[in-house]
Amino acid sequence: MTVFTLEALGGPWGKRLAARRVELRWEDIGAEASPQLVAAAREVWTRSAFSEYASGAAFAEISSSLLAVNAPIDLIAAAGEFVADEMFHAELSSRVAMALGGAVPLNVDLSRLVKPAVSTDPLMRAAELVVRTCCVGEALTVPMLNQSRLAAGSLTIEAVITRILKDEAHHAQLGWWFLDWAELTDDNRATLGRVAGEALRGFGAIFAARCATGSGAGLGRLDCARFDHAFLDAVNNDVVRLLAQRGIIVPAADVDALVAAAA
Amino acid sequence: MRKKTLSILAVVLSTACGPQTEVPDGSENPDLTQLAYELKGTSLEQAMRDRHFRPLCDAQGFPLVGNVVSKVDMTDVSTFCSEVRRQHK
Repeated sequence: MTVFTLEALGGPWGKRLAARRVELRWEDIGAEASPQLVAAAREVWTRSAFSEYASGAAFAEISSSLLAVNAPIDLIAAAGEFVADEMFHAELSSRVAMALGGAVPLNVDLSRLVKPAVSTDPLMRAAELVVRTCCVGEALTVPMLNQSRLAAGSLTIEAVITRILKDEAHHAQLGWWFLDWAELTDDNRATLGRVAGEALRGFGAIFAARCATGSGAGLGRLDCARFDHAFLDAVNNDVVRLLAQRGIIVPAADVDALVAAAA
Repeated sequence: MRKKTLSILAVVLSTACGPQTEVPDGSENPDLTQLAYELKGTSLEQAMRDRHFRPLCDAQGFPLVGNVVSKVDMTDVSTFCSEVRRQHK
């Protein structure tokens, strides 16, 4: 385990991320927020930086898996670009955390960033990674970030979330385009339904903690009721429904387990 | 020799509750009242040094994919800060 920090080399390498940057007024973040909210937001944005970093690792795995199945080259190129997108999002989230006072010490295991695919078939290995990452994780990210943007309470944080959202919608779309391209059997689809269900169950961790009310919402944080409602709505509308349209049925027990965890 | 780099994200440790305050990992310990009790008899400095966080993970310890970490109940900052302040008096 290591404490999560990020650094950059700059020079010619910095230019790749610089091309993505937008002008933001970092000094304005949290200017009128309570100290408790600012402290809590530091945690959210440190976690956000790591989530983006881990998502970058997932897209790196997806890129390799798409290469292994001779996927359409534009899809492979997109997956490769998404790694850079996620590094940029990690940088943006880090800048918010630093503007709020600095990162909290987040213990991470960089050797276990991506859950490995279990199938021995290369196409299914790619499909597993794509379903977990794009069709579940990224598909849930878009509506949740939309909610966070509405509750930002800070023009700068609103702008940061808007910039991240600009990319995330494409990240989710890659999954649907892959599934529409891949020639999957009924058995493959049944397996992917279970993969998606297991991935959804993993999000039960979000509901494990009791709901605190001390520091309130804002600066990218959502209150529990709003988060839970939006999240479960996204599970049904942005994940389960769209997978079902492609013949991939998420076991009802997995969705029910998530709903029960949220109750 | 390692090339000099620009720090993008750095941990800031502080003993003041507020913008530069450490907060507890509520996702690992849902009962933060219990945490407050555990903090009794612990020095402020020790408490701050020991408070580390873990990312949200699935049952096998892999990070959750995507970015859905915006929920307020990850921690209860007020509980922690109140306790820290109480100890500090």
